[in-house]
Amino acid sequence: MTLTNADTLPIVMTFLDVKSVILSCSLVSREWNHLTRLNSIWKLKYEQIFMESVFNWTKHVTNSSNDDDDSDSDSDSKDESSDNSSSSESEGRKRKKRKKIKKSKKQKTRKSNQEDYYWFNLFKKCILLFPILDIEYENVELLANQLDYNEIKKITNVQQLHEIIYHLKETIRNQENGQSQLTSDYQYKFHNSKALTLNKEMKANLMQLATILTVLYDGQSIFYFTDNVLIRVKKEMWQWAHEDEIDCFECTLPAFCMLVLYPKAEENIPLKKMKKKYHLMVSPSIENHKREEESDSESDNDDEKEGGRVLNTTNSCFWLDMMGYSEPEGKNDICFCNYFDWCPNFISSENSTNNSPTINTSMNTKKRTIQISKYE
Amino acid sequence: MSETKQVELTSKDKVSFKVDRDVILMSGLVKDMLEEGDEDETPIIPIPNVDSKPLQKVIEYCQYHHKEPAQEIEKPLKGKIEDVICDWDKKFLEIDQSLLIELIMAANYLNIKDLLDLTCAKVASMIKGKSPEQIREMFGIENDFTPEEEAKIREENKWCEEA
Repeated sequence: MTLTNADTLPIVMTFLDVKSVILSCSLVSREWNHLTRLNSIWKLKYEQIFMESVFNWTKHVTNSSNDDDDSDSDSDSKDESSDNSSSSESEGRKRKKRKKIKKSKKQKTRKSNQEDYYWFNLFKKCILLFPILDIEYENVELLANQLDYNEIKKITNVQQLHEIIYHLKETIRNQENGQSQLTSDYQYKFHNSKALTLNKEMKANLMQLATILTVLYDGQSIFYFTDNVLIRVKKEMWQWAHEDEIDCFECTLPAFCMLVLYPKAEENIPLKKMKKKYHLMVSPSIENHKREEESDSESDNDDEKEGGRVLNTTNSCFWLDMMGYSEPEGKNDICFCNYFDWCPNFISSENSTNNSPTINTSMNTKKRTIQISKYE
Repeated sequence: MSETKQVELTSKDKVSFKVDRDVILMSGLVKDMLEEGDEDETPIIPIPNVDSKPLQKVIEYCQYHHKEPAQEIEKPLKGKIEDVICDWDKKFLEIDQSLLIELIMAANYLNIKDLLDLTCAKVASMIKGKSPEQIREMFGIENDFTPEEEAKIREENKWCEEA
């Protein structure tokens, strides 16, 4: 009697983690390879990893994939509004055309929903959006010094620096292939795969995500399939006191990343009193960050700061301000700025021009100080 | 005291088992069959897809969990299955691999969700941490990939390796 059965093997897979299903089971045989991609497995995994029932990402991802179509319809409507003299007959034709397009879109969506690998493909598509950094920070510095230091230090564009931080693997591969040229454009080549085409808004959100992840993880490895974060609502922005907390919500890291990439879903975060005067915060790795431990004495917090841990171990970051985070040199206080100039960079940019941000960073594994001037 | 109604199950190898009706109602298949039949009779239900050995284990499971409802098993398993199931289930699963697979098929055929979950979770626990080669060896599966196909799949799977 064989275990390869379309009814039962997918049930076995639901008890396995993502990596076991993909990296072990899919390579057993052709039959297993097919069965490891079935919707019955990946609908559940998508729900678990991305918290689909809370955020309804499918809607957001589908909408963003139809950006081109939407822009076409937008341009249609623009044409329509500009041409006031068009006859009622042509308007009727246009309405009919729009209806037809809408209908065909619906049919398309329904068809893709029925595809055997729909949820697997959606899962993979979403994970592929996330930046990867799995190199030790000291190696980052080493890499910068050894390989492309002269080239890297010329780069004063914060966004590009983040791009580099999250493309080290690609850089290393290029180096191994005898190419030391860094990517000079904004094409995101994830996982050595085909370049993803991203629209302007998505690129900006992706850079924001890269920055937030760097702040949250403080150079530590990210495990998308197992890490969680804690999103909190606090009453006062400048008060770190725990009593100030109104509500909190445990969120998987992929769901949090999706929240950054698709900010419209923010309204779905199941938190109380989501009003303007309340502030969202986020803290990482809650498996190692029990809430009871947060009420530790203040001296513990000070120790953490003295040890060079910028934040995250006991406090949360203000989510929306993480893009503007900076720590002035010689001060222990953490400052937040409202512009996109924070970069946990590993280089000293000596060749910066007046119009570019000045980034001056010294870093070792224990203590890191960062000084960043305003980015124009 | 009223007498408990019974049902007779006949296995593929023609072995009969008498079992309390309330107990075997855990099986969705048997439940549907009993609902269609006459309540006054002691029905004989043929189970043509299941041999006596796994059927006996199925009855054993139903007899215990009829009174002690099974707890839901976490998906995915974070550790070993033994860490999340009760002692009775642990002992119940001390069977050889071929019987375990037969039990999965029986639970699937008889539509007993809790038993299917338990047995599938056990198999998942056996697979966890194993390489494709080890899984093939464990279940006697032939590798029908060409080296090119295998290399292509490994390349396609890199997204997962790096996440």
